[in-house]
Amino acid sequence: MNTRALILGSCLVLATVSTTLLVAGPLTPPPGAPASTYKTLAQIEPRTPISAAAFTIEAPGSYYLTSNITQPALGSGSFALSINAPDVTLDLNGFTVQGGETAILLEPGASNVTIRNGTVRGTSGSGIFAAGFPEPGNTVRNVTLESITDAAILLGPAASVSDVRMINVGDGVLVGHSSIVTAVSIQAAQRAGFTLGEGSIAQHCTVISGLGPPTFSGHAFRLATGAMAVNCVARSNAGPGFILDSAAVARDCDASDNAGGGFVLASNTRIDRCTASANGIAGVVVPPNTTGWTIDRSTITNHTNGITLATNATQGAIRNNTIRGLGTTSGSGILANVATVGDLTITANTIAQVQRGIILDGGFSSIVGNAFTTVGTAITNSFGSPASSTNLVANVLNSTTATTATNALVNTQN
Amino acid sequence: MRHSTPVLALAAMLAAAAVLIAGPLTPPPGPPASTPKTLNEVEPRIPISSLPAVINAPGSYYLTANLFNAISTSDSITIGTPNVTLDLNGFVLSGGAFAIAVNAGGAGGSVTITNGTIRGASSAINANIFGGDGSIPIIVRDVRFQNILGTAIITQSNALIERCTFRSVGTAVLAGTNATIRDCITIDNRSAGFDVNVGSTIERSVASFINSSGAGATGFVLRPGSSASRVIAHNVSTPPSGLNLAVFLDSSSSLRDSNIFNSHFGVTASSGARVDGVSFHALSGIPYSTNVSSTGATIENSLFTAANNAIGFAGNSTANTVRNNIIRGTTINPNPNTNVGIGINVTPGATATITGNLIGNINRAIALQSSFNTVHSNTFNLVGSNVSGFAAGSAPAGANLIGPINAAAAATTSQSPLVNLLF
Repeated sequence: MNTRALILGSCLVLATVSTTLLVAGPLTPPPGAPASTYKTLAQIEPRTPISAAAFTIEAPGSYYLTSNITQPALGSGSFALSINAPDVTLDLNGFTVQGGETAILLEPGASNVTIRNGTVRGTSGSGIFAAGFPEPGNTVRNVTLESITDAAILLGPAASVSDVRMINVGDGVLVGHSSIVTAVSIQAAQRAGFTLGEGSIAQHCTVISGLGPPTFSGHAFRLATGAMAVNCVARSNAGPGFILDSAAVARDCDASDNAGGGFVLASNTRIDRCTASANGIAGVVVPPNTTGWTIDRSTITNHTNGITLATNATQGAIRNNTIRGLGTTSGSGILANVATVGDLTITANTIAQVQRGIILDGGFSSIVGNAFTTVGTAITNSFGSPASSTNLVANVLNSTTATTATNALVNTQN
Repeated sequence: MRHSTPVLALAAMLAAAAVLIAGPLTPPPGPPASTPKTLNEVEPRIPISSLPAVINAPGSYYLTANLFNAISTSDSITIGTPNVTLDLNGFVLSGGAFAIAVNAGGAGGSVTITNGTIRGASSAINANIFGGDGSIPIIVRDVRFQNILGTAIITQSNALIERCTFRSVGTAVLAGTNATIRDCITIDNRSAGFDVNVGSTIERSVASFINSSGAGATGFVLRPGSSASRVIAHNVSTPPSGLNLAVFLDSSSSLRDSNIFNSHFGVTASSGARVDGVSFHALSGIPYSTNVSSTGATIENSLFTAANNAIGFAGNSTANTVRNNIIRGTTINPNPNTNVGIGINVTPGATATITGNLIGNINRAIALQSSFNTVHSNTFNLVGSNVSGFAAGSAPAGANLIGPINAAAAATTSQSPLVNLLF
């Protein structure tokens, strides 16, 4: 056998084996009608595209933009997109919705709607706006809103707004009860920042004017009954930083350089572990007829008057705070210069660098365990005389004497 | 050298040409192939286009449309394998009225479900096989649930549920051990809000308007060793009535920095439970906003306003601590000597250490009906009686350590450091 014959023989064997292997699959076809094994284009992108304004979403489902869309009309009733169905997800797909009186209008019936991932700008009215009696359960996430004349986002109850940035808007965020707003920043709002419904939560949110002089005179944050702001910041606004309605709570929040005051309380409200610095009017304002309020564990600095109390501000607790003023030639730590203020508990505070530590014209309050440092006077009435004898005022001792005192309730001054 | 310029130009052109043609002449290995992406490369995930569907292989799946399960007793999607991601893709999964929308009880491992709406099933997502607490770590994110007959999400251990909204469901979440729930909202439920098992955490979530028609609702249920912070429970039953409870704290669980208001009962705390930095407002329940039924509970830094009663310790509830709270009732004399208008009530057999609290505008600040309690360094303002028995002005029961109660005299430097202030 020569070499050539050997090679040919080997090839024949290999070819036979290969052929056997190649034809070894089942000959029986799979059950059912023949069908393509490939995806269709509709399966690749099953969502409904939106490519132009004005467009109305009238059925539940998933929608996405294919480009920037613009509604050139800005007149009353105009919109770029509207939604009148529930259970809609609208992915802006990184594009911009521009124009209209309202950019994205949620009409009655539009509940469980999610809008995400893009930019909304340039409207004569609102940005994302739930009309009429707003439906519950709507979400806005990862959206930038710019140059909105009125409300940037207005939603109903149980709304969720997160990871949103706003610049130059009328009102920032308005949501109904039981809503959660997280990581939303508002810069240069013209009227107000956040308006939270009853029992809502705002966390890691900011309202900053940012464009030179303060631009709006509304509130940075307004918390309706039982609402809560946590780790929020209001800075350099023309209005007040935080307005709390009944039973609302601000915790770990910062208010600085707000011309309308840092925190404005209502009955049964509480600020806890907050910081107020260099605000107008006062760090904390207790309006008339406010009862049952608490200012706790907070730092209030660089105000002419740290805390001001108005007529009939009663049954308040000011505990464990640090209040530092602008120097001993002016101002007070706590200014309660109306006779109807009473039933206060002022305890364990440090008050420093003010002309007068506490001015108290009313009676029936308790002032114990406070420390006054670098103050002109510690506790007096408006006329510089001792506060009313109906108050329970612990002795004010200098620090040397206090070290020998047996009563931890004494007030100290040095 | 009249020809030097053309020569140099020619040399430069040749050099440039040499550079331009300097690429490799050898073709890339392998057979010629198209350079555009294939459709499978554009969308490599597996589509689900009809119901019922069964997932038996690990991978990534997505809905291609709103899907309705017309078979009311059949689960819509069954996941029988671990390592599955199901993207609802913004669509609605509905139907199966008496079945489960996504049954992951047989997954045996990780499952993630995101981005869409589930409505109209008996249960929406169920990973609880045989009612046990095994190991199907499930993630549910950005899903809206509505009109679920029973419990919307039932999980085993290590679940993560975030940014979900629940409306008109039975119970929102019934989670196994070590669950995490955050940024979730539940409203208009018929039974409970969020019920989590041992070692779980809930943060930044709201439960409200639960069981609008009646009885037995609970906003948050924290099983032993669980923690909730920055949560709000309100309008747990409307109008506040029945047995509705905002928060149930099982043993060694905690509630921090939260709000509870406009409900019936506030918190029921078990052994070793802790309430810290919570604001209670306008709770109509009798007996108490916070009711401690066992031993070693701590209630501190909290605020109680407009409550009929604030804190109560049931019999045999011992070694409890109440400190640095503010309690303000509705009026000094609403209905004296009834079970309305008590700041802190220590019933027979219970014991507590009560210090540093401010109690005001209430009929009885502290009612001691038992022995071996400690009461000092508190402040009483506008109270019918400060420390008493059950009846206003009556003597506290038994042997208790009660710091002196003084008004003006406390201003001196000679008072006991344990003095309670009265003004």
